[in-house]
Parts: sequence; C-alpha cells; structure tokens
Amino acid sequence: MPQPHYMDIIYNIIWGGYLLASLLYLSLLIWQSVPLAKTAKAVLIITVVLQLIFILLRMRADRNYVGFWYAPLANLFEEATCLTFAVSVYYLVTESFTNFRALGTIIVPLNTLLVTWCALGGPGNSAMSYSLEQPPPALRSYWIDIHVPTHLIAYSALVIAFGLAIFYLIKAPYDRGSGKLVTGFLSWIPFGFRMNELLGFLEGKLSEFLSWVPSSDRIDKMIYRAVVIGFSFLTALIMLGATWAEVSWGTYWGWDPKETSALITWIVYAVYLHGRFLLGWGTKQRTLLAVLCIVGFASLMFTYLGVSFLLPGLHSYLRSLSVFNVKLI
Amino acid sequence: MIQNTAEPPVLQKPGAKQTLLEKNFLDRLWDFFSSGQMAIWLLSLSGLSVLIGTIVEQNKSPEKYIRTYGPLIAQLIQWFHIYDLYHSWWFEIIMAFICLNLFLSNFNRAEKVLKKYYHASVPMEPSYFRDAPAKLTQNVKGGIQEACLKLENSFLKIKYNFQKEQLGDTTYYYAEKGKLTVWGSLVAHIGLLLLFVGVIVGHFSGGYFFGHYIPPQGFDRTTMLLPGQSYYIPEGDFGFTLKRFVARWNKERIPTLYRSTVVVFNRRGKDLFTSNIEVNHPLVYHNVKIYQATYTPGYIVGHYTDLNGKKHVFRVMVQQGGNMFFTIHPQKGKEWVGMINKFIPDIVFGPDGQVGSFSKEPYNPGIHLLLVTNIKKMPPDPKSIKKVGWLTKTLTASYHGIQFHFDKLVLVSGFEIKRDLGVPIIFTSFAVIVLGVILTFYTPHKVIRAQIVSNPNGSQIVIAASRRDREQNYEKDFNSIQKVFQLKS
Repeated sequence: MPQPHYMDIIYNIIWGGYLLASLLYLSLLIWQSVPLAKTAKAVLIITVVLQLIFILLRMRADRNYVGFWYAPLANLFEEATCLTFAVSVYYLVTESFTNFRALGTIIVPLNTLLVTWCALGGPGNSAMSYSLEQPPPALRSYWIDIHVPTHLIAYSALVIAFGLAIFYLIKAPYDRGSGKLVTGFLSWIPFGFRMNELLGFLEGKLSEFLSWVPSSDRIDKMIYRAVVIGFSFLTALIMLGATWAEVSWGTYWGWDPKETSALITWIVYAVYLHGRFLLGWGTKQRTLLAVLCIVGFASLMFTYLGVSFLLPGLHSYLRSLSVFNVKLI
Repeated sequence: MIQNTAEPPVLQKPGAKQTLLEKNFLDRLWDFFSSGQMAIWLLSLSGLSVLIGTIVEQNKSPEKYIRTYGPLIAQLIQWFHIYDLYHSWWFEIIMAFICLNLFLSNFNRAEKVLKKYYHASVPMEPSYFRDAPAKLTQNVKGGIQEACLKLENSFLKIKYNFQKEQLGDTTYYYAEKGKLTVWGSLVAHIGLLLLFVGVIVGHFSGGYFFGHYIPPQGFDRTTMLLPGQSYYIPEGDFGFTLKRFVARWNKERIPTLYRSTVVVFNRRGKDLFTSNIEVNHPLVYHNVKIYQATYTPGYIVGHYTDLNGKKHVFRVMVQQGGNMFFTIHPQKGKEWVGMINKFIPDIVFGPDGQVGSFSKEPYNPGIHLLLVTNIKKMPPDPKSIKKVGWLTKTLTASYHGIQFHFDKLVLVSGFEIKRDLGVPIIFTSFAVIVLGVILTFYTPHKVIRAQIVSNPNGSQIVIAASRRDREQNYEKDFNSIQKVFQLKS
C-alpha cells in the first residue's frame, strides 16, 4: 500500500535538504568560511528535524496499516531512512563537541547518497520500495524494536570512524611535515603542459582546508572513541540478534550470510582494538589502524547492503516484501 | 647487598621479563599460544575463513559449484570442505586455537590484573610529568611533609585512592579512581571463553528431534504434523498432538500469522495442557523447545455429488509435482479414478485462459482434475482420461452431471524440536561480555600522578593527569586540588 502522498512530498524535501547540505559542506573544500559552515550545519539540522518528523509519521502510517506500533525498520527504505537519520545526528553531535566541520565533507555526501537511493525508490522498485508493508511473522516481535535500533547506533558510530580515518590518512603526512598530497598523487600523470602552477594551487587549497582539520593525534583519539562506541553496540547487536534468532528460528547462530558478515565486521574492529593496544602508538601503526577502519567500513557496507542483495539468507526480508510475480504456467 | 667488585653484577628487577633464551620450551610454547599477536593472526584467519564461507553458498550440490565456479575451483571447494566450511576440520582447528589462545591469555591477563588491582606499584618516571598534557606546577611554602599531607587530603576529597613512594628527595604519588576498569578486558575475554563452552555443551548435550512425514526441501530437521497427529519426544519424556493449525495472509499474500495449537501429553498419554506455538513464541517444556518452523500443503478436501444425488467427500494427500489419485463412485457399482495432475498454490487465470500463480503461498489454491473412466487397464488408455477442469474454492466443475467441489486445503505444520543445554551458558556469556565491555570502555578510570620535591623555598609540586585521557576530564578534580593548595596552573 502506498504511503500517504504528503509523506512523499516531505521525503522529497528531506532529499533536497540533504543535497543542499552536501553542496554547502563540499563548498568548504574551496571556501573555508565560518558562516558557510554554520549555514551548512543549520540546513542539516532542519533536514534532520524533518527526517525525525517523517519517521514518526511513518510509524503512525505503519500502525494504521498493520494494526500495532513498531519501530519503522521492517524494510530497506525504512531502515535506510532511520540509518541516515542516526548518522546525521551522530555527525551533528560530533561537530558540536569537536568543531570538526570539515568532517561533514565526507559524512554528509555519503549520507546523501543513501537518501537519494531512498528517494528514487518507489512502489515499483523492488529494491527500495517506500510502500507500506506488512512485516512477516518473524518481524512481528518486540525484538525488532531492540535489535535493529542497536544497529543504528553501531553503524552510525562506525560510519563516523570511517570519515575520521580518511581525514587521519590525509592529515597525518601534513602533521609530519611531509605533506605534499596533491603533488604526490598527481605527479605521475604525464601532463603535456606545465602543471606546476595548478598543482601548487591545489596543494595550497588543500593546506588551507586542512587547517580546519584537527591534528592527526586528535583525529586518532576520535577514531578510537567512535570505534569503541561502534564496536560495543556491534557486539550488543550480534548478541541481541542471536537471542532473537534463538527465540524465532530456534538457533542462536545459523551461519546465515548476514550473521557471518556481521561477525567479519566485528572481527575487523576487534583486530583494530587489539592492534591499538599491541602495536603501539607510532605513526605507522596508527596509519595501519586507520586503514583497518576503512576495511571495517567496507565490511560494514557489505553486511548492510551486499549480503541483503547478493546472498540469499534468513535476513533477505530487508529487501522489499511486496514482490509478486504473476508467473504464467 | 651489592659488593664492590671490578665488574658490578647485572641487577635484574624482580618482575623483569626473562629473555627468550632463558625460557624453557613449555614457557615459549605458552607465550606463543597466549600472545596478543597470535590472537590477531587467529582472528584474521577466522575472519578470512568466514568471508569465504559467506561468499561461497554452503551445502549445495557439487553440480551447483561446478556450474558457478568451474571444475577446478569446485574441486578445491570439495577438497577443503568449503561446501560445509563451518564444520570442516580446519575451521574447527582454528576455533580450537582461538579457544586455546583465550584460555591461556586469560591466565596471563588474570595475573596482571590481580597484580594491578591488589599490588599496584607507584610508577616513578620523571618524564611522565614533562610530557603530560594536563598538569599543575607550583612552588609551595613549607616542607615536604606538609605538602604531602595537603595533597593526600585533596586526593581524599576528590575520592581518589592513592599510593606513595619515596625515591631520593622526591615523593611520588599515584592516585586513581574507577580502578574496576582493569578487570574489563579479563571479564570480556572470560565471557568469550564461556561462549565457546556454551557452544561445546550445546554440541554434546542437545540436538534436534524429528520424525513423521517427509519434510519439504530445506527443512530436513523439521517434524511435520497434520492436525490430529501426535509426536512423542522420548528425550523430553512428553509428546504433543497438533490440534489445529492456522495460517493467515494479508491482501498482499504475505503471511501474517501461522499458529499451531497443540496439546501436550505425558508418557501415559494423559493430556497435560494446551499451548499455542507461533513464530517468536516457542513452547518450552522439560528443557525441550518446540518452534513453529514452517508449513506446507497437506491434503485436499473436496466433494462431489454422484448421479443419484448422493454427496461423497474425498481427501487427497498433496504430492507437489506428482499426480494425486482418489476413487470416485459415479453411481452404485461403478468406479472411476479422479486424478489431480496440477496443484497451484495461489491460482490466477489469465485473460486468454492461461493459468498462473501469484505467489508460492497456498493463499487461493487451485487443482486441475481429470477422470480415468476405465480403470481396468493400467496404465490407463489416454482415451479413457477425461478432462474435468480447474477447481478452486469458488470454481466448480462437472462431468456428465457429476459436480466436483474443492472445499479446503489442510496445511501441515512444521516444527523444530530442539534441546540445547548450552543456550543458558551462552546467554550468561553474553551478559559477562557486556559487563566486560562496560568495564573496559565505559568505566572512567582516572589517574593522577604527583611528585613533590623539596627546593630552597619550600617544596615543588607537580600534578599530572593521565596522558591517555582528555584534559577536560580532569578540570574539576584539578580545581578541587587547587582549592586545597591554592595553586595556580
């Protein structure tokens, strides 16, 4: 059943809000202006408030359709909407506490990509349908209100850790005084004309931008904090999932692709935390750990989307439920 | 006492680590299997194995692997047992090594934790005070004794436990709060070990109990029961009878409920109680759990009216993909055979008379009925096979005045019956792991170190916060200390 039309309009406004916020944050790459950053943050806050209203409206619409209240997390559209909301809230809290505005240049566009996918979905789009759907019996449980929101906290923290890890890898060479990133990356291109001025200009721009970025030491500590939160909730997520599976499927662990993929992600971050204590605090070691954070993010995305679409399993209901084919015999 | 010789003996601190050569083989083996590096390697290896197991679909036929990956990789999948990776010998070896590593490292960890918790020594490193991000330095009038007393009072005021040690002219203090955090890592790792114990206990103590009827593909551990059928579980010393099975679907043909009402009876056959089993609501009795796992079409119930106007009921067991037969008496002394050659779970008729299915759910089933009028010759002569047509709940068909009706489809309920005594251990391990994670990461462990040195004007006090912590975490504590000392940072 399609959701009420006014909700489609609200979602399109949210999409517009994300696009605008992304544009404003990306502008910080060129113009490092405080009013611009404040405007970007204001746009994001308004969008996030709208998204919260949308989620509450969706909950009410689900309740009217299904007959009982539950967290709107029963299909990919609802789930992705809540995840983008959680990531934005986590980002805004991080920005408010650390004043690390440049982080928005990675996190907000990344979030916008997922919102765009949601917005381009539709009743006929089996992957991302925003129709109201009846959850199957397995999802008709209070566990959905516990297990899935835990994943929102875990994933949003680890998405932030990913953004921070990218910044660490860019900023660390600059802090060491060996930072010639643009020149370093582009010098191998066989340009047929003099590029020194352009490369110098880009290098200068990047330096200006990086002056908005905290020191690599501080970023490293922020990554650790985000990973600790993400890992803790990922652990809780796996345990809650196992408990639910024991109640619902009769086995706490069925080696389902979603479970095994979540386990891989958990292992990557467990290695990160062990590495943090074992490898020491040198720059090389911390660079390695930042790379591990990026690997962890890739694993996280594979767990989130890859498994749902590529590998059949018990968690396949994350895809839209309303796929009916009239197959003539 | 150290003797004054030409070559002074090398002094070794009591707790100093032995070098590799000084260790015997067992010690080295212990160190190898309990090391953090080993943990990282094993975690990485298990992660890689699980990744392979995630990508390669498990428990498929060899033909499927050959089709998907080609003969060479399919051969490798066969050799290395990758088709059932999680039960392969090498994966179980990795798991065993992880257990061993956890077990041994927990001993090492426990030793350190106990020492740290009960017999902590005061670290005396002047460099610590030089590099600390948050510190207070001030010269104060008065002797060392007075300064020490004030400092100790201030530690008590901010509820820090402290120890002090004297080294030459310098007095060192080590004060801390939230010391429980040192247990965190040990508790979390004990929880993980307990998890493995739970899995092992479950492996040896439990299992699935199943029987009756042929379960559908993919449900090989399932007990299938028709309404009225019973199943006795000797391991649980009780049995149950399926009284009723209800499946409901919404307008979009998605199942919204499947519920079995069962009557539990004891070994003497006495009914004990009635219970509803649904998805997310298993029946737990005598350590045995009964889950609602699946359902499948069981038998078709219909009726026909013969040429004399008499009503006959027929029941036919559903055999997916095969013909189903029942006897028909068109009139007294005459016998035909009804043959259902097609069963469509959710039938739809196309505009040009084609037949299709909306879904796999038995939402609106349809059967295609044929009649064999000459049953003396088997297999029947094609000429004696007469087409009756499609029957649904709303569609009837007739042949020479005999009217056929499809009344209902009785579903078979599928249960998973399981006993796993490891589950309580596993849930306990979850609680222990959570406790460990909270202690490790969320119990604020604050450490303040101080050194007091006498100088010509009195004493110099340097107070430094932990280097691993944020400066602002200590702001309040430092202010309290300042108030006692009236120091300025």
